[in-house]
Order: sequence, then structure tokens, then C-alpha cells
Amino acid sequence: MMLKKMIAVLSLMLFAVVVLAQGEVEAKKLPSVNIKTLDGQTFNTQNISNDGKPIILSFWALWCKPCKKEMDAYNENYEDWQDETGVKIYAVSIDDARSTAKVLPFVNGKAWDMEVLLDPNGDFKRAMNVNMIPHTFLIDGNGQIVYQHTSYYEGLEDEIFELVEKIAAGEDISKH
Amino acid sequence: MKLYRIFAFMLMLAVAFAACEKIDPPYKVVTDGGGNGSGESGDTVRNVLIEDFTGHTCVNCPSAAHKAHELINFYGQRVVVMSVHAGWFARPDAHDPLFATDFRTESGEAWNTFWSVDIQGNPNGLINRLGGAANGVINPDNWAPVVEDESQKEFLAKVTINNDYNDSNKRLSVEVEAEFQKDMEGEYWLYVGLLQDSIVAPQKDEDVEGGIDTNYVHMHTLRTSLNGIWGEVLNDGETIVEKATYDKTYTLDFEDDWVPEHCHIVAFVYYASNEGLYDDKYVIQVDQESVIPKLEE
Amino acid sequence: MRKLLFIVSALLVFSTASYGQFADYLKKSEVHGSFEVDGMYYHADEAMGITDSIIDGRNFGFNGFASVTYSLGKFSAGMRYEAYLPPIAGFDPKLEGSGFPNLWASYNSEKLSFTVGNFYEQFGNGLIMRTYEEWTLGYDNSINGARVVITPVKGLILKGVYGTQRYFWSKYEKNNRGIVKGADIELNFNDAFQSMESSKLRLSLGASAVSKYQVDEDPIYKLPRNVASFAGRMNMGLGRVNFSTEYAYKINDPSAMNEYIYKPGQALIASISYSTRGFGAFAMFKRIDNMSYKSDRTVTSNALDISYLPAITEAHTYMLAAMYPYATQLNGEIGYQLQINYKVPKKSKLGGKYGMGISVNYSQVNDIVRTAPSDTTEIGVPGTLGYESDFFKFSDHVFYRDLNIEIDKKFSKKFKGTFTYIYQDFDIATIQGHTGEPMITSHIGIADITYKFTSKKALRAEIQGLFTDQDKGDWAAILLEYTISPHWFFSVADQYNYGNPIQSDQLHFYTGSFGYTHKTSRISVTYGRQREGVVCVGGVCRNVPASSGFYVTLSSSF
Repeated sequence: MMLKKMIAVLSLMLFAVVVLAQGEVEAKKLPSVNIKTLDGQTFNTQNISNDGKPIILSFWALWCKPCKKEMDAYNENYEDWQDETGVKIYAVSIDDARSTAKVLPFVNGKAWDMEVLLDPNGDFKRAMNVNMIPHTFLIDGNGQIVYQHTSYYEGLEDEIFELVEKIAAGEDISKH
Repeated sequence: MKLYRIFAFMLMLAVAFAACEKIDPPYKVVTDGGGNGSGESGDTVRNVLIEDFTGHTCVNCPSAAHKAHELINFYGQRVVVMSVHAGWFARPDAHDPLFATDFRTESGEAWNTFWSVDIQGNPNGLINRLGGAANGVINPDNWAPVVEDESQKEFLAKVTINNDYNDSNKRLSVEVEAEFQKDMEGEYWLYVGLLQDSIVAPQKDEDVEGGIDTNYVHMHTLRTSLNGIWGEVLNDGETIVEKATYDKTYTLDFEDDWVPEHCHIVAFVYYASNEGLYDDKYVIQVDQESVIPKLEE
Repeated sequence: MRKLLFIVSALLVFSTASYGQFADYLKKSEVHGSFEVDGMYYHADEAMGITDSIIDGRNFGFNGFASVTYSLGKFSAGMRYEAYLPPIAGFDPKLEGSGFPNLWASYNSEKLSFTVGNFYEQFGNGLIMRTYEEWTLGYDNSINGARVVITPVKGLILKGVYGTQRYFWSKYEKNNRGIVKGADIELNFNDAFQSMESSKLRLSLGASAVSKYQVDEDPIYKLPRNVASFAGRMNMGLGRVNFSTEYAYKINDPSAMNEYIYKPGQALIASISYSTRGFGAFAMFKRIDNMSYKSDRTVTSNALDISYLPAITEAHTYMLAAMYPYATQLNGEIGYQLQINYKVPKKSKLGGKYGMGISVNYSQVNDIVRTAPSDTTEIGVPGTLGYESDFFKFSDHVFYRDLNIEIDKKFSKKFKGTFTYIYQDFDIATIQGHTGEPMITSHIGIADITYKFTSKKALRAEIQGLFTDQDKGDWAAILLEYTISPHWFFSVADQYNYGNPIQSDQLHFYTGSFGYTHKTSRISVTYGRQREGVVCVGGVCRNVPASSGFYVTLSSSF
């Protein structure tokens, strides 16, 4: 028991030092995790890229109504957004074995055009510290995560797109 | 080519890794009820008390009764089962005539509270009241190994019960003698209770069609105590010397629905302590005796 | 103790003194984390049968966790702290306590990944191996041990795991539960073989083997100490069609879950989908027979599962639609599911200006057919084979049936709605153990309408009705939710059990709540009544008792 506590305290201190060292630099890179594509192929999350243009990465699931609304809202605007900023959207479904097989026909049925990936055991979700969904990340041209947001309310997509425009223009939005 | 080799290697590894044991029938150790060096019950060996906390509206309880019965089949007289109707599932239902009967006892309710039994769900039980107030409750699926463990423990006391039932005034006289086998420290208590077999009454049961067995046969049902909720102390804390005996006598007036032919007296001696983390009430010996002596065949 | 103190101080000195050289390393390292705190304050509510004596002074519930991950290049480590003081009503009381249940360290490179400590793993669909964590259920069956993942050539992944599973706060001690080991292989043909790289056929195959060891301390039964299971799977995509299947087999595994029968277990799932832009069709078949697989044969609660066998029925999320959730019957079930998603094109007669979405889902689950193993043995007797079963036969006993039709339509830029009809049969006697109660047949109608005032402000209303002659009778519910993007939401809701046959139980379950979100931090406060119910996520369900009071949730991640 004692040992466990000591290890914990030690590690906490180490973390504190690390955080201090990092200072204000908030940018983070995507972790390397193996997840799946819709047709069952393995996909490493470091392959999430968009030729130096911004990326929207959003976690969702079939059982999450606000998530589906968010995706619908993105999808409605996707064409316009792409024309203006070249943004690419990745939608990572955290559906487990109960419904992973339903994701592909659902996505096609909805006529969504974004890249959809499957994270059936939440490995990517955990690596990204996603607690609740929807959880959306914005990634800049250098592959750095520059913004994140949980939950979806009507109209959030406008806010997200404003940020995407700024990223595309090379502005620093870390203070946003 | 390399790929195939890896495949073959993995397959071999998997087979070696995933060890398995296929068991061939019979799946149970076959016994004739005399399992494991039974001998004369309690005369020279340790007996084991199973307290099966149950209730007539508990749909999973019949399966626990079945497990207890299985242990009796295996250990013979060395296992004594006491069915204690207590707690939430034992409450009589005023709106449902099927479950209006109250099988609860004052002892049972107090024990249920003391060991927090129904809070942890029914069926559940105590084996020799092992583990103290905090950790006493044992899931029926774990009874067998614990009973086995307890049955191997040292023989510390011999409990002898003599019943004399008078049919004319329906009065039972009971004499219980506890003989200790060695010098012992601490406080020892004796509890004496009445058990009744073959009570036919409705029981909820998930394994029967419709969920209710209206002709369920309740066995080993605790009916009443002969010496209070916790019994009575034997030695008042004095040191017990080897071969010391303690005699107690009781009388009990039978109620109408107590069928003497189906009744037993159960008596057990337990070590009681309020010290340390747990309230210990550990049973060191138990025995039972029919109210009406059975004819030898 | 002294040694530890020495190490601590040495580390402190080291970390300050050599800070300069260290700083470079540290700049490359990253810290991520997240936490959540759920608090509940209960008060008595006589109408719901919650009295002060039931609460008995324990009028608080508190669940909280924090997890932190540290990474430096190919190395990462993390820990998770949890506290349940005491757990919120409905969570397993065994969770009470606090501490660090999870600690881990891992090394990840392109060809090799190695983890020690607690980890989560899934083989294929999880039929014989899935460890995961579900905060909302208080569920965590992570393995504490070691895992290795090797990718010797592109497209081939080999995995091996070894360890013991988490059981609330109880540490593994000799023989107090089983030890789990497993291996998995997966081959993605399109990655592995150049000739298939651009093939239309997408193919992957996988196989896994898992074994658990537990001592046999039972004097009566001859129990297998090592119980192995095997599974094989395939995923195939060809143009618009995708086919996926997995079969699992488990050798004799008598346990409290199957009442100590020795029959081997089997599971099969198969699904096929056809989809094109705007249209998706899906069919799935599933059969489970005696497939509960836990690393302690005596445990019957939601813990220590090795296999993961979720229900294949639609997971409903609307208040009333979630009233009767189906849970997989691990001892045996056979069922199927059909689904169609169709998007009526924009500017068509039916679709209007914005198009219209239609989705229809039907699922049914029956019992499997069981016959006596021999002339002299009844079905399901402990210590026997148990039963025999015809693989593809459906029994007449229906556990669950669900038809739901959902239409979503945008009427104008400001106004959209989703309309749902559900028909449901629910065998409450089997699924929730309410032995003797009849099948519940219900019709549910839901209108979910959103009106956008401005680009950021919107009002959403749900109007719901559940109609049944069984159980608690008819229900009506309404919910109003006002949101101001991206920060605020306010909502009020009421569920009214107006059709309850017992007059005094015709209760209103009202709640009021609001929440504030900033980036990844979120706080929400709810006041009101929570009706008794069952919350299911995946294959696990949790009973939530009725309660009344305040509920606060705070969560964040960084």
C-alpha cells in the first residue's frame, strides 16, 4: 500500500516537473494507435493527415444523438468548407462490437463524405483522453492539436469553421 | 514463404498457450453420502454448519438450497444446514395470500442485520460463521470449498443432544452437553434452535414454469430459538480445561404447525469475541438430533 | 521506507540540478489527462418511497476519476486514480474506496509494442477477449500483466496478453481468481500482399486463443483448471458489399453463471451490409450458447468477464424508449437484426428542399432450443453436460422484439425534426429476472423538434409516449432544451406515469438542469427525480434505483 502511494506521489512530481518544463506550449501531436477503417483494415492514427491543411477530428458513436447532429451539420457544410480552406474531417466512431458493423451502412445511408474510422475498443479515445462524446479536435498543418471541444449545441459548426479558417490562414488560435 | 512460417509458429504457440482440460463424465465425485472420512457425526470429527439465508420471494434461493443438499449428500451427517428465512425476500406479503406466511424468526432477523446478509443479496450464507461480521457472507457457489476447508479443521468439542418429546402436552425437553477436547481460552457460547423439514409452502423459483412453485418443500427451516437470539455463554470467560463438560437443559412448547416428526434440534458452540477488527462468532462444533428418534432400519 | 525516501530526495535533487540537460528531453515529452467528478445529493421523497430511514444519513454519493498519461517519444506511462466515497446509487457497493487501480508503462515502435501494468485489449469482435472500461457503469475488467504486439511484416499483427483482471479494489492474491492468457493473429491481405494492394476485394482474417487458469478447490465437482477458447474471424469487402463473421468455441467451463454444466460453449456472429451513397442495408445474425467466460467461475455479477457479447438490438437513447433495454442472455440466445437507412434526395417530392432520412430497424432475439443430454438426465442439471442444442433452431420463447422507424427531416433553415415509432416486446421475466411477470408489449412514439432562433440559439423539444397494458402502464414525457452555442444549455423534463395501475404510483419524474462547457471542460447540474431503471452500455447493464435530489458532473481533459 505504502509503496503504491510512494510510486503515485513520485510520478505526480515527475508530471509536475514535466508540465512546468512545457510551460505555455500546449500543442500536442497525435499518438500512434492502431484502429480500423470501415472495411476492416488496420489504420494507424499517425496516418491522419491533410497535406499541411487543417483537420477536424471528431469522436462520435451511433448511440450518441448530439454526435450524429454534429456530423450532419459538418456534412452539410463540408463541400463549402473544403472549397474555402481545404479542411479534411475525420469522424472516429467509438461504437463497440454491438454496432461497429452498422457504422458503414449508416454512414453511406446518411451520405456523409468525411473519413470515418472505427475505434471499437476505445484505444484511440483513451490515448486522446476523450471522456465524453462528442469531442472534437482541430489539428493544424503541422499535425499539432491546437483546439478541442466537448459537447455539441446547434450552431457550434459555425464556431468551428471560424477557427478552421484561422488555422488555414496560419493564425495562432492556442489563446482562443 | 516467411509469412507461412510465422503462421505455423503462431498456431503452435497458440495451442501450447491455450492449455485446456477436457473433463470426462462423471463430472462429480461419486459418493454414497459418506464422503471424506465421515465416521460418526461429531463424535471424533469436526462438523460444519451452513446457514442458508433465504426467503420465499427470492427466485434464486432454491438453487442455493440445492447446493446445500448436494453438500449433505457428499458429507453426510458432518454437514448441518440451517435455512434462515430473513430479510427483504422473507417478508410476508399482505396483498398476496401465497406469500402471506411469515417464516422469519427473531434470531434470523438479528443475524441478517449483524452480517448484512440481504443487503448483499440472497441467496447467501454463512459457513461456521467464519470471517466475522464484515466478511462472513459467502456466495453459495463458494460454499463447497469453504466447507471442505472447515471439515478438515481440528476437532475441538463434542456436542450431544438428547430430546424427550411428550406428545400429550406437546412439550419437548432438551438436554445439550458440550464436551471440550482440550484446554481453551476465551468465551464460548451455545446456541440451540428448532429446525423443521418438509414444510410445503409456495416459493418463487426462476427454474419453474410461471416462476412460482406452489408446492415447494422447505427443508431445515429455522423455526425458533430455545435460548435467545445469540444463545447463552458457557464459560463466562474462564479457561476451559480438557474434557470439561457443560450441560444445559431447555423445554419448548410446540406450536400447531410444528410437526414433531419433521423437527430437529440443532445445537452449536461458538467462540465469541468483540476484540480486533471483527466481531467474531466462530462455530467450533455443531450437531443435530431428531425430536422423535427415528427407528433403526 | 528509508530507501524510498532516499530515492525520492535523489530524484528531487536530480530533477532540479540537472534541469538544464533534462529540459531538452522534457520539451519533447507530453502530458495528457482527463478527470471527471460526479456528485449526488439525495433527499427523502415519500411519494417515491424514499424515506429518511432508507437514506440513513448516507445522503451523498461521489464517483470521481483522474487519469494522466505521460509520453516521451516511443515511451509512455500512465495512471488512473478513482474514488467512490460512497459510490452513487446503482453502482456496485464493492466499488467503495479510493486509490490507483491502474498503472502502466509502455513502449511503442513500428514493429513492436510492449505494455506492462493495466491494459485494455480486444481480439476481433471480443467474443473471447475484450477488456475495457466504462465509467458510466462503473465497469473495468482491465488486465494487469503484460502485453506484446508485434508487426513483423506489413499487414500482419500478432498479439499476446498475460495477466489477471481487475476486480473492484481487491488485489490479486494466490488463487483468489483466475489468470488469463491469450494470443491473437490478424492478417490484412491488402497490406500484406502487393498483388492485392489495389484489389477491389478487401480481405482480412484473424484467429485467437484464450485460456484461463483457476484452481479447483471444490470437493464435489471435478472442475477444469484450464479453460480454453478459440475464435476465428473474417472480414471481406467487395465494392458495396461488406461481410464480416466470427465464430468462437469454448471448452467445458462449469461456473456459477451456467449452473455448473459441462457443455462446451459456442458463439457465432455474422453480418452483411450493402451500401451506396444515400442507401445502406444491413443484416446480422447472432447465436450464443453457454458463452459466459469469466476469470472467476464463482462470480455472477458484472465483473471479471473475459468475453464480450453485446446485444445486437438497437440501443435506444430517448427517455421512454430506453425504459426496457435488452441484455444479452449469455446462457443462450439466437437472433437477428435488419436495418435500412435511406436518404430521400434533395429536391425530390418526398425529400423537399433538404432531403429526408428514413431508417428502419427490426431485431428479434429468441431462446435457443434445448433438449435433454440423455434419457435419464433432465435439462440443465448441475454436474451434467446440461443439454444439447440444435445450432440453427429458434425456440418459440421470444426474449425481445423491436421494430423502429425513424424519419428525420429538415423543414427550413430554422426548423427540423426527428420522428420515431417503436414497437417492442420485452420478456421482463427472463431479461430482468422478474420471474412470473408477463411479456411487455409496448408502442412508443417520439417527436424530437429543433427550432433555431439565431445561428447560436436553439430550442429543442421532445414529446414522447409509451403505451402498454403491462408492467407500469402508460407513460408520457416531455423535454425542453434551450442551448446557446458553444457554452450553455438549460433543460426541463418530465416523465409522467399516468397509466400506472396503482393510483399512488402515478408519479411525475421531473428534472431541471443546466450546464456550461468551455473547450473540454464541462459542468452540469441537475435537480429532480430519477426513476428506477436499467442503464446498459454494450453488454453490461446496471440497475439504477429511484432517487431524488441534486446531481452534479464536472469533467475536463487536457
